[in-house]
Amino acid sequence: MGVTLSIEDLQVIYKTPDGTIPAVRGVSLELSESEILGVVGESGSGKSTLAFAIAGLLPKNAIVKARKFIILNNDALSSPNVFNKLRGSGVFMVFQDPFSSLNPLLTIRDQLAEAYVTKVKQSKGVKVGIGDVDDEELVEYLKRVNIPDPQITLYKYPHQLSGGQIQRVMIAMALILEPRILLADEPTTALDVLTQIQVLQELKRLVDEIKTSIIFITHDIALASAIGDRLAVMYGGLLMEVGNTEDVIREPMHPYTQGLIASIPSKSKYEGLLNEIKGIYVPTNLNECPFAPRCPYVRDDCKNSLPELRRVSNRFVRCHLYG
Amino acid sequence: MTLEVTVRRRRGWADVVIRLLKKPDVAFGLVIVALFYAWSMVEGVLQVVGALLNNPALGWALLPYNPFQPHLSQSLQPPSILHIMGTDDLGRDILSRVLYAAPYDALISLVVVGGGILIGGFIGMVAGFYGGGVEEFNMWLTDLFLAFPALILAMVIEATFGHGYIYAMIAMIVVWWPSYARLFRAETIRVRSMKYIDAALLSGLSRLEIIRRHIIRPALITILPYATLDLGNVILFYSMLSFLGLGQQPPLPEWGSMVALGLEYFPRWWWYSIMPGLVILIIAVATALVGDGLRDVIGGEERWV
Repeated sequence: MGVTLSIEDLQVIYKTPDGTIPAVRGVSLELSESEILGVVGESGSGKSTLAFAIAGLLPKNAIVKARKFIILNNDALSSPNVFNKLRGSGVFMVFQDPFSSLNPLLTIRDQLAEAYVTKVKQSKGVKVGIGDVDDEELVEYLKRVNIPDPQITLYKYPHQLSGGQIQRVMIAMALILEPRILLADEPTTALDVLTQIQVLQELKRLVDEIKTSIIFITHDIALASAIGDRLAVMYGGLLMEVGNTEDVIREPMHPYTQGLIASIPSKSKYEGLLNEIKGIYVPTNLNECPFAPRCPYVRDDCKNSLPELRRVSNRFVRCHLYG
Repeated sequence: MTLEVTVRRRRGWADVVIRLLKKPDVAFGLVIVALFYAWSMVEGVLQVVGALLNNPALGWALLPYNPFQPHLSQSLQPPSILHIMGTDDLGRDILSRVLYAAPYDALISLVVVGGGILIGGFIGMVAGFYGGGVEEFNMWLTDLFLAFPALILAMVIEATFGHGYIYAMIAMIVVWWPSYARLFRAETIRVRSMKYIDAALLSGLSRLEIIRRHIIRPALITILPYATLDLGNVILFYSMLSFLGLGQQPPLPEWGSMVALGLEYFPRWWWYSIMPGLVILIIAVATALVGDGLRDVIGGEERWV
């Protein structure tokens, strides 16, 4: 199995009129073919910025730094054109908000055909008009993601579809493009629980059928553990814990991971209040542990030095408790 | 079990027109606007052909009277069956003169709005799509033109370069494009932030294709209602220029200059200025109604249910 993505010490800083904001503060990741990595974190933890950095879709005011940033054997640090080269078959993304993922003025057919045409152009070097794409071909893709009445859906406009259906159309688009890396940025956040599971299953099928690797980004650790082979927990722009999903869920090591798992609602209201992680995220100094203000086990050294991401038994943890 | 499901393949323009006609006020406006432009086309073609064949009479072949022939015995007749809008100080039929002048207003409204969309669209879309220094410069230029009161700027341009129909047209395009530049920039920025632009980038479409397929159309469609409404504004503005003597030069009739000339005979011979003024008002209101209706119909198309 090949390595599709290899990042070392990736930093993304946003320049704003009020100063700079470090959104990602040094993330190292490696992703293999057909692997699903769940990235969990709350709002502002930098998980979406990480995804957009990998897709090369960061806004102009973002500065990207890294020791190593290799996507599909291309060095993304060498020039910004690397991302242009990857477009069409390298990286694809399924977005959080299904209702802005498709152009409201074009039918589903036209948008799938658009992807189909660029794919044909890239793989076979043949130019096909968007109007000339065979409908039956596109219907096949919709069938593969279990869209009901695909012939009819093909000629619908995005507003006539539900959020779950749109996400499935996006996955169908991924099936057409066959990207080596698929970034799923909270694709199920806007969906109800049953649709969530269906979309997860379509994503898993994608791995089986086109051997893509998926980075599944979510704030829901239960969801991430349902799909991910490995789990990465992010907080304050840093990876806090990375390991196999089984290990991390069974025996979370980092206090933040423990808090996340403890706060999964599992009790009825007669058994007492839900667990929560106290406090809210506040930006900290760069030389202290970002979770220190909320950590139940906080010690003096947490406020004076930022712990390293260290190997502890079967995983990596960033915490002074495991020094 | 078979279920009959019909899917409309396209919401075409026919559909938009049908929905416009369902609202009585918009239908009224649409009929007026359609009549105005249809008549202008017929009359305009006749005038051009007449000029080419050296037979200007063709220009008033369809009119009740010759709009240039004075009948001093008939001067300042009130509206009647013979002269629906009355006659002017030289006894010329006002209705004929109004109808003869229509193509000039129709043409200038289309050219000025079209020119505004072309120039403003280019400057605004480039600014919105590329951002940074390009945007700064384009918007600085736009603001520079917007800083002058439109009428004064148009008057200055005409005073510098010359009077007449063509000069009025040029002056008005210069005055008109900045508001379109702003609209197009705002629309481009809005559409650019949509995730489907990102998705299109990732699927390998080139920037040019993205602008062509995903930006021009939505931007144009949101601006279309405003542009329709703007046709009336152009006619009003052009009438204003002619009122001030900066438009069509006599003896050619023009709505605004007819109002201006008629004011000397106001209020006793009120129809001289009121009748052309009424025509300007009706056309302006009609375009505003259609523009408003279009915004409801097309605007709803893009919004999510």
